[in-house]
Order: sequence, then structure tokens, then C-alpha cells
Amino acid sequence: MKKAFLNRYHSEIPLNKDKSNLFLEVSTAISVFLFSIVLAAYFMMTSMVLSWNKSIIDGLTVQIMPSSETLTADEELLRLNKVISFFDEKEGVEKVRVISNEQIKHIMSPWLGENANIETLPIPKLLDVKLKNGKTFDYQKASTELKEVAPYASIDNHGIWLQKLMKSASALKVLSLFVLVVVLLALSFSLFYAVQTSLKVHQNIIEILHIMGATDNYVAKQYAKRGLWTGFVASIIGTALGFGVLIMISHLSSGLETGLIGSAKLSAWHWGMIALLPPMTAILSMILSFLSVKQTLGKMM
Amino acid sequence: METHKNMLTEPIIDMYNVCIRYGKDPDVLKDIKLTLQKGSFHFLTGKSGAGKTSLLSMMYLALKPSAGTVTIFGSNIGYASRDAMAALRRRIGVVFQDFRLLEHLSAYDNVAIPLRIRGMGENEIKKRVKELLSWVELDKSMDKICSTLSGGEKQRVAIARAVINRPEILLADEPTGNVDNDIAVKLMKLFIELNKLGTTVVIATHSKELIAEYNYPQIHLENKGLKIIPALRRVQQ
Repeated sequence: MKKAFLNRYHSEIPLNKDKSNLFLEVSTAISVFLFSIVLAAYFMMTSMVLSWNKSIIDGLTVQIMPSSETLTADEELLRLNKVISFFDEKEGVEKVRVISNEQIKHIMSPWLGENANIETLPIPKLLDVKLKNGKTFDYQKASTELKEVAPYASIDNHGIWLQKLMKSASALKVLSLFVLVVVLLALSFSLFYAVQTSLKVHQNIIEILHIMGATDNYVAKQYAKRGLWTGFVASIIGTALGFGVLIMISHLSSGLETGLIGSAKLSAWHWGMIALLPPMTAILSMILSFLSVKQTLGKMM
Repeated sequence: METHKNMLTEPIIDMYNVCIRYGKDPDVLKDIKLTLQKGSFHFLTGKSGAGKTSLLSMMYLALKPSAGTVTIFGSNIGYASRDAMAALRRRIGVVFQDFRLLEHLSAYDNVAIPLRIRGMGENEIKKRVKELLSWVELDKSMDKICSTLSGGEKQRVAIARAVINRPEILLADEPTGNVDNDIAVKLMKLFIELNKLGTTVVIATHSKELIAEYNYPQIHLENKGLKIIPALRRVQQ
């Protein structure tokens, strides 16, 4: 029974003794290791961009600095209304709300204490501006226009530099996708090269198999089985190394409590996707081996 | 049921104006016309370099003619697809002069190859291979790796591998060259039995004794051409 089982997976071509095996295993492990790291970087950047995006979409804050001169209540109100009117008329703005002194007091309480009398302090007035679509809102333009209308008011530049950061992160995302494609191509090329070398080494055996009536599929299946096995084992090694490095990075960055980097975390879904690399690589390696053999044998007698 | 006599009127290999040349070298064989009937038995003779191996190679579909038409089992091999060629080859058994065994495999696994290629189940393969290896007196060596077998043993493995599939055409290049007389007689009996069951047999040989003993017609290669030398008497059974 055991022998019958083993024979079912018997290969006439001694691929397990191929010198190209080591090359294939090492190149696959390295490719998968790089792939896992770059994929993780891609996931982290996606998380960061999503998180930043969310904070931008929520809206923006406008500061109205207190005047250096003493102003009457009407003059204060006029200054405030000027800015509110500016945003009310601005395209893309949904709602403008003055943040009440009570709320400002609450915001400032960690620094000033619960009982601070903020009316007597030179604290800016704050406006909460809700946007229809933060993604399309031009912060830079709004900021410049606001300066012309009300030089004493300014948009909290959080959104502006976050938008710049997002542009850079998006560029990095594209770059990481490009690197993933390059790694994939390098893996495919080394697989193709290993198969070609092996076909040359075993040309005599393949010729005998053909004479006995073996189809190209019969030969290609033996290579596909080797591809599946080698791809799986090597990619487990590559993924394990990748996991090790990612866990180490995750551990080292856990001390950084900054809002920006803090959002660059891998979710369980991301870890799951990276863990899927060995079976995916094994299947890819199997398919590429099969097609590579079929293509080469198709040119033979 | 098809009788042996009826089979002999059905062409199984047909060559018309066939030439074989390698690269820019002169023709090895030229304007060959040959028709072998189903169930026929021929010796293939000729001096070394006369083109016996080339002719056999074409018969087992490892070589396409440089010119002319070769039809095997009714299929023109010039137009057959790769898969169709593979299907035709599965109906042909070949014994090579240099055996061409897969040296890293056991005798058992070598003989099992044609059956595995056909997709036969392992239990049936085991039964058939053991039976045949026992018949060629290799039952005790079936698990030995071929590289460790003697020349005679390798030859028997090669013959077992060629006949395990009960081929419709059996092509053998010097199949009794490396075995002792008793085994040679036994192997010839095997070929004759297969021939009686309808297998078309072509044996390339230099052995005048073998030709005299069994006295089948000869395909004789000479001066790049061939001639058929008829049998003088039938084998007495």
C-alpha cells in the first residue's frame, strides 16, 4: 500500500538530484523574503494613508488669533463673521461651527486646569469647518485666499502637510508595487532558467520517455510537482524570515507613540495575506514550471 | 476474430520515396519504398553504417524523413501533432542496442514506465511487471538499480520494457547480442509469440546464425537503398 502510494508520485526524471535545485530554493526563498517585506511595507503605507485620509476628510480647524489691540465686542464679532462668511461661501464646505468657550476650556484643561478663566486669556477663537470631501478640497488655495480676506485667521496646516505626506506615501505605494512586480519577475526568470538547465541535463531521459509515448504533459507534470514542492519549502523559509524581520520591526516601533507612525500597523488580515505567500508561491512555481517545460518541449521533435 | 493471415494484408508501416540525411551530409538512405504488413516479421540487415539505426529511428518516430512520406498506423507522421505522435509511439515497443535504460531507476521501475505513461493503476502494473520480469528470469533483480546490472540483465530489462505494453510494432536493435544462447532462444520465442498475437516485428541484427535459424524475410540495406530478401522456409514449431 505504502509502495503503491509512493509510486503514484514516482518521477522518472531524477529532479530531486538536480544541481539547479539549490539555486532554485535559494532564489525562491530570497524572493519570497523580499516580497513579504515589501508587501508588509505596502500594507503599512495603505493603513497610514487610510488613517491620514480619514483625519483629513473629517474637516479642518481655523484659528482666529486675538488682536494685539483692544477691540469692542462688535469688532470681535465682525472679525469672526468675516471668516465664517468666507467659509460659508467657499465651495466644498458643508458647515461652519464656532467652537464654544466651554469646548476650548475642555481642550485646554490638560495645560490650564479645569478652573481656568479663558475669557481673560489671549486664546484664539476656533472654527470647526466640515468639508463635503476632504480629498478634493484644496487646502493650500483656501489658506492663501483666507490670508487675503482675514490675515488674522489661519487654517490649521495639519491637513496641508498631511496631504503632501499622503502624496509621498501614495508614490511609495506605487514604488512598492513596482518592486513586488520586479521580485515576481526575478523569481519567474530564475525558475525558467532552472527548468531550462534541468531540461538540458535530462535531455536523454526525456527523449527515452518520448520514444515510449510520453506526452509533453507527462514530462511537464514531473517538473510541475518539483516546482510545487520546491516552491512551497523555499517560500516557507522566505516567509518565516520575513515574519521574523517584521515582528522585530513591529517590536522596535511599538515604543513610538506618534500619531503618524502609530497608524502604520499590520492588521490580522495583513498578516494572513503574508502567511498565504507559501501556498501562492508553490502554485505559481508549479504553473510556471509546467508552462516552461511545455513551451520548450514544443520546439523539440 | 482477426487471423494472422488476414493481418498480413493490412499495411502498418508504409514508406514512400523516403530519404534520410543529417544536416548537409549526403543521404544515408535514398528513395526508400517499404511496406510492412500487420503481423509480419522481418530481420533488418546490412553492414555497419548502412542506415539500420536511422531506419529504425524513423519507424519508432524519433526521426522524420528528410524527404518522402512515412505512414504508420494509417497516420502520415509529417502531419501528426505532438500528442498524436505520442499516441502512435505508445503502440510501438523499442529495444535499443545500447538498452537506453534509466540507470538511476530499478529494473522494476524501468519496465513499469510504458504502463505508467498509459496511466495504468499501480496494482495492475505490479502484477504485469512482476510476471514479465519473472519470465525473463529477473525476478530476483527487479529492485536492483539498473546501473548495477550486468549487460545481459540490462538487455532483458530493455526487452521487458519494450514488450510490457503488448505493442503492435516491436522494433529491436541487436536484441540478443549480449545474452547467452539459452536466453537468446527464450527471447526469440517471446518475439515469435508476440508476432503470432499480431505484433509486427522488425529485428536489426548482424547475426547470420539468428537469420539462418529463424529464417524470416530480410529488409537488407545496401548502397543507401533496400531490398527485401524473402524467407526460404517458415519456422518449424
